[in-house]
Amino acid sequence: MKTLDDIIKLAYLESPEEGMTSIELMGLDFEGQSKIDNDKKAKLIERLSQSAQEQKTFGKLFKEKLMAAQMDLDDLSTTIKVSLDKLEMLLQDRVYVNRIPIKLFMKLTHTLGITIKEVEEGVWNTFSLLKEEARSESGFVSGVTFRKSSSTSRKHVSTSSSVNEENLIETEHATQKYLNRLQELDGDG
Amino acid sequence: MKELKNIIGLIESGHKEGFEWLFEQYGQKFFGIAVDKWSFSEDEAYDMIYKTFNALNKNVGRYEFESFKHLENFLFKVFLNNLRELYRSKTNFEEKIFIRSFSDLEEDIVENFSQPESEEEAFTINELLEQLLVALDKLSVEEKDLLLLRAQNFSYQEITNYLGIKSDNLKVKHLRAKNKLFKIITDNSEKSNI
Repeated sequence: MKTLDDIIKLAYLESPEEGMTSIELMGLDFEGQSKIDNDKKAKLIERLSQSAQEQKTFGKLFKEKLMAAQMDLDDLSTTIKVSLDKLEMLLQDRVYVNRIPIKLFMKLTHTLGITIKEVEEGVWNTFSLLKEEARSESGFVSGVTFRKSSSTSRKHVSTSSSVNEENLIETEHATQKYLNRLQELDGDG
Repeated sequence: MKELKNIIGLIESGHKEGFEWLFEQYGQKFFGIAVDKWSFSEDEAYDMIYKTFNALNKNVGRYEFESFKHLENFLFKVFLNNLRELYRSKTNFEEKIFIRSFSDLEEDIVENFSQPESEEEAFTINELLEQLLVALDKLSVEEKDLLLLRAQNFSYQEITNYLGIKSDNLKVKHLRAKNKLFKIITDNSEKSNI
């Protein structure tokens, strides 16, 4: 860090609103000299595509199966007797899956033909996403303003339950127990 | 042109076509900004682009993108956030530097900081940053934009295009803005020493 310009850059980054204005100005028109070569471009696209497959959250899986079954949320809500709010939150990965009563969740997976293996993978990916979000709660991503609106937000869920309850439910241990129980019930069925 | 809904669907389901579109629209742009304007290495720029697009990957089902402009804003914000994190991680905020006096600041000297000759003369980057943030607030929007864009090596011609201002005397305006900034910083530090 040797020039005033370096510190000016840092200052703008530290005041995001100012920075954004100029970044936007630049970004919209700017065509740089430096280009990613085709090999790296292909690798980047491959990595992203792979990552999307591997990061299939329960919400994404749910959406996919819902579309495949050509059902809408209202129908599903009526069929399995889970409130529309809860289904919306599941769909948008805004709630820890183990907050849904296990028997109702079973109904959901059976109705949409989601296998236990798929559930397990999706539930853990959603778990990671929500934990990551909680960690960066004061950070940027959680601060962007165009989140999908949901009649019940995650915040609402959190405030409606005690901190202790959250600590008991939103853990790896509780999630694993929920999945184990799901497996047992599935085996019984 | 593809519809936004289709693009989002492709990205959500992990189709390469979605990421190819994303790359063509924003990938090279971000790469150019990171390498040409922020002096990051090509590998660092590549990682930032991956992280930016992967953030969309993770969150695509959770946000309502009503228009391409919305999507673009989201990506720029995430990209800027990644850029900020990396820039911060490469900065030693406790590094001590010395600012040349205001009168030394001639156009050709440029403002290279030198090693402090004594402890009293030295600022840490952190201290200077604090002062700079206060000082920047006292400048006009045009002056601030001019300083930031020049700091990133944008040419005067490019700045003229971006800001839509006349290019006459832009160089002089830039120097004046920088001098003004320095004057505010040095006045403030003198006051705080009294």
